[in-house]
Amino acid sequence: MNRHASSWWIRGVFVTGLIFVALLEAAAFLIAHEHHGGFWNAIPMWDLVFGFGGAAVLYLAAKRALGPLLSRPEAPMRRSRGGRA
Amino acid sequence: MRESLPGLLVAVPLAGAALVPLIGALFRRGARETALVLHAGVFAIALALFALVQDGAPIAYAMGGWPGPWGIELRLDGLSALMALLTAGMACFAAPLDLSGRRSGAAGGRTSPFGDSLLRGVLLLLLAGLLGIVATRDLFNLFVFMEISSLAAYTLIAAGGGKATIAAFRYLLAGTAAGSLYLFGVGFLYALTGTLNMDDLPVQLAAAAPGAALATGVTLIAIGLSIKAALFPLHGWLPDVYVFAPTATTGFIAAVMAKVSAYALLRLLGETLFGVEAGAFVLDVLLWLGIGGVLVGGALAIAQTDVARMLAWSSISAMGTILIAVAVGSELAVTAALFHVVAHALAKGCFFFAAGALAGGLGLSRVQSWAGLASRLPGTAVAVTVAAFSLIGLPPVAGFFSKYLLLAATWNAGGAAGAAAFAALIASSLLAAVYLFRVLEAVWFRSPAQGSLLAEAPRTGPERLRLPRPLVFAVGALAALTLAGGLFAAAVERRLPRWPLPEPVGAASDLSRLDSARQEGAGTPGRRVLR
Amino acid sequence: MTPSWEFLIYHPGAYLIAGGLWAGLFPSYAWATSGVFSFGAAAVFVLRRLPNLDFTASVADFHLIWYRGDALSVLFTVVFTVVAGLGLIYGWYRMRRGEAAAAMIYAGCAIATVLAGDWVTFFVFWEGMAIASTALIWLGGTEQSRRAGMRYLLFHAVGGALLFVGILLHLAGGGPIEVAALTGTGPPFWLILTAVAVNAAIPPLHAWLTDAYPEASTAGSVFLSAFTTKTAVYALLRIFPGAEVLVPLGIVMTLYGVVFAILENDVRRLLGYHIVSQVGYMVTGVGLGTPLALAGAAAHAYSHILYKALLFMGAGALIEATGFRRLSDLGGVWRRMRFMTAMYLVGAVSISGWPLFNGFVSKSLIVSAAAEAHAPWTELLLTLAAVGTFLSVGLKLPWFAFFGADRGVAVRKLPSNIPIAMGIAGFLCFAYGVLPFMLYRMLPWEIDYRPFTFDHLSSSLQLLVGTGFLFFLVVRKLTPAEKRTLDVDWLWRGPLRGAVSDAGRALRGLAPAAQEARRWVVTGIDAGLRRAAAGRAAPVAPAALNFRDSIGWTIFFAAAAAAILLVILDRA
Repeated sequence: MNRHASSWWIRGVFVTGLIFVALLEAAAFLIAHEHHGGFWNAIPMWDLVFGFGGAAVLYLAAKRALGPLLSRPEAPMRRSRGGRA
Repeated sequence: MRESLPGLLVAVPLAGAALVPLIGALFRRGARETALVLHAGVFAIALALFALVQDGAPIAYAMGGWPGPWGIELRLDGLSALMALLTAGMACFAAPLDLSGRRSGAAGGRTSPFGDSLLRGVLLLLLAGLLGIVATRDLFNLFVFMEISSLAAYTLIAAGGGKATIAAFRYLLAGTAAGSLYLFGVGFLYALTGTLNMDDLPVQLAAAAPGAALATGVTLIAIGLSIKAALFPLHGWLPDVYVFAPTATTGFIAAVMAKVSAYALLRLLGETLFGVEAGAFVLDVLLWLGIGGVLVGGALAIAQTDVARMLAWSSISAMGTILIAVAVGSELAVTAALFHVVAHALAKGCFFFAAGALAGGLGLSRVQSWAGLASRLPGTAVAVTVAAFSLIGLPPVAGFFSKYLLLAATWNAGGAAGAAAFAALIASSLLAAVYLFRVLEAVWFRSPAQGSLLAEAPRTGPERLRLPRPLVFAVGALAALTLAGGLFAAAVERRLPRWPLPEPVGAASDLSRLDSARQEGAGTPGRRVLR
Repeated sequence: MTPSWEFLIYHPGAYLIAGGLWAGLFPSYAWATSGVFSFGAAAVFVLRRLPNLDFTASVADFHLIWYRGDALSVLFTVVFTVVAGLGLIYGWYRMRRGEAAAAMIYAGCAIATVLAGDWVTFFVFWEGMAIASTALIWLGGTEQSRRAGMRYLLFHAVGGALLFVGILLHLAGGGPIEVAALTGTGPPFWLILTAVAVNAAIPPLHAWLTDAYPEASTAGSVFLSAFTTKTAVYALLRIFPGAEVLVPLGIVMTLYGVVFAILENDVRRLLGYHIVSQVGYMVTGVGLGTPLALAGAAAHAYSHILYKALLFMGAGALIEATGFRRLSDLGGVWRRMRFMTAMYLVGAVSISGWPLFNGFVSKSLIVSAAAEAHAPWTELLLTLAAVGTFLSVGLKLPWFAFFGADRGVAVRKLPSNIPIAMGIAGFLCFAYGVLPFMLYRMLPWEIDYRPFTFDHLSSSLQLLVGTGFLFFLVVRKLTPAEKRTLDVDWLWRGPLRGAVSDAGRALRGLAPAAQEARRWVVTGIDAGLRRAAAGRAAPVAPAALNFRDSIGWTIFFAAAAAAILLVILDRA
């Protein structure tokens, strides 16, 4: 499938990201700093988890919960000439 | 000189009404010029009176040398001088125009010079009648002037030919009913008190016992004047008249005629008959009818596709607004009503002259047909925009300040009626935004429809579209005045009379005795409490 | 403080409005001339440090303060002037005369609104802004833009009426004429708050934004993205600092916009949802009410105007170059418009809060303020919205529009003014990102805040990287569908129209019955009169008076009113 032919790109991002995060976590562990806020800040690697999990929650809320509810086919009468502006 | 000005104010146009056709018949030319000079003269007299009464002392003229309360007195105070100035001023804009109402311009042929001079005489007659209503202090004389103005108006409307004739006849039916009701009411009051003088009447009424006869008289007067003022639901005559009458007539009538009747209502119910229980009750009813008129007029204006008919319904809404303020009757409310009278007369006159010119001369009567107007007649488009802003009540033009004053007045009035009036005024402004922005959108943001007159006309060169010069002057000047009324709102507001008007002291005769009598019997105007 | 018209010399808004009127009214001059002159004059007076002076004039018994140049007004004036200049450069070739006029008047009115010191002036220019922006939408020139513009106008007419009434009640209640923080919770407070909420696009009053902004022209929507909502943020900062109700509203806004943006397919509507979302941060900041939070709201408005204008320029460039406006039609065009893609990405990383770009230095003020105010849940939800922002604007939109599978969409070459405008905007986003004190020192509140702590950098980067991981896991599922998303505006666009036409039909159905009733009454009166006249029972003749409808009604009503009034008066 042509659309996702560039998946080497994705793999590259993943590997770079993993290395980057590992370095970051190591540094964060060494230069520990007090952080006030909710109890969740006590969870190790919380920000990474939240970035991933929060995005997943939003994705699920939008695409799974609201999408089927609110998405309608484009109006057939719409004079947009196949989406042209 | 000063004392004879009120007499001249009425006598000049009245004499002119006879003189102008005479000149037309004898010389076949010069009638139009004579009429213009006379209109300018009347305007000058009104302006002089307006300037003279600014010090607060009214100027009275006893007709035939008989002072009131026995004779007929013409008296100009701050309120009537303002109305006279407005009426005479608007007449000056209509006077140079073609009154014959050949809607298709030159194609329909020209009226004979004599016919033209006749119509110019009738316009002067209409002006005389309206100025008489404004100036007179006599109830029966008011009826006479009302009939003079009405008959002149029927004639001018019917001059449009075709459907205008039918509209004029229907207006005649309603207007006759109105005049009769008013006259009946005056008859009741005369039977009760034996006087027709507006200053004497309260004195005599204070002595007379209140009863059904008084109530009947007041009610009939109010209904009669309400028909003339096109107060909902007595507005039936208005839309057709405003749509079919000739352009010049529509512009003038729509700007001042109904308002002069509203002025008479304010004079009679707010001043002469103030303190009469039935009068207060009638004012309460008028307030609610005004609210109804504001909403119905606005809603039906949205439903129209014809510009003039939309404006006609908008006028019904505006008359409702003015009557709300008259009925509230506080100092602020009357100031607001007068500001609105001025602002609306300027803006509606401008809009009607423009609409009439486009519909009559070019056949552009529907909102859709105005598409692309700005590209071909930019000056007209700007003027119409200014007028529309004023009618909606958008800053910085005059209508914004009248809306502000009206809202403040109704809010201060308090009570259920005050709150309802407040809400209705807000709603009417929103409704006006809907129907007028529809016009503005067509004018500015659309291109002319293929094959339409506007699309065919070239943008430049001698073949480009042009309106008759007097119309351009009228539309432009009224738009400029609307804008000036907003930019110099404070100056305008300062020159509006303060309600209640000061008691006339030694105006024509021994009227000073009224002071004490009024305070005892009739209460103080401007202290109405809304239920 | 004597009445003075001198302020006109100093007023940047006055130059833009005058230039706009000039450009619009005088066809023989190219709008560009007046654009350059008026913008140049405005910029000169902005750069010259606006005098911290009050200019007043008395109009209609009001003591008007046309110009109040304190730190908060000046902050917004500066950024409004900058973005007006960027927009004019961006629209240089594309904008027609009328559009440029509307845009300049719109910008001028926005500046005049934030510089207004009293309620009347504030209201006047607030309304002017609504009208000029409606014109800008209408000048998009399509049937959709006509309809969306009308809906937009109605929404703002209602908002304007609420504001008007609120101001009126405020003044009638003896409130000061100066625009200042409102105390108390009477009707004026709520009316003005609702009116400002309309312009701030707080759900469910936000639908005008996502409905109308995508329908303007590409240059028009750059202007639209900057002024209306941010003027509302200014109004919130000025009038409602610390209003607690704003905190939950703001949080809902941030998440609402983000969720809908994930679903959206139209490029500019997606960005429109992100205006809602980002303004939510500012609304939350105003609601928190601490100096740090208020400063954050002001700073974020400043940053937001710059990067959102950049994003809309990028989206506009995409649409201009390809002719497509939906993600599902685009893909893989980055090789053919590298600079535009890069600049779009600058905007995208700015809005997502990447360190070294301006979104980071302002958004973190608000989030830190929430933490310092001991509102951990607020902090958490705002962070969640930041995650969603990166997901949709930072990843989804560029992936499906610029990268992803190449669909072979042809790309037109764009005139050079477009990359110039985008380059300047991108540079500003970056400059404020690396030199945050440039922004902080303009803020009206003294703050001691250092954005580049290790903690802060590390947590931001982890968040963004985590989001990135998820995106590439579900990228196939995120492929935009050729669908539209229902928002609250469909509540009135569909059913309400049906209800209105049903009501109209019902009324028309009633008309014959009413006619019949009137005819019956008129005939009855007529017959009764005849009978009375004859003095004996006469056969009922058909109505002699064949009134046309309205006149019959008039006389009928007059008679009925007389009768009713007489009965009532007789009783009284």
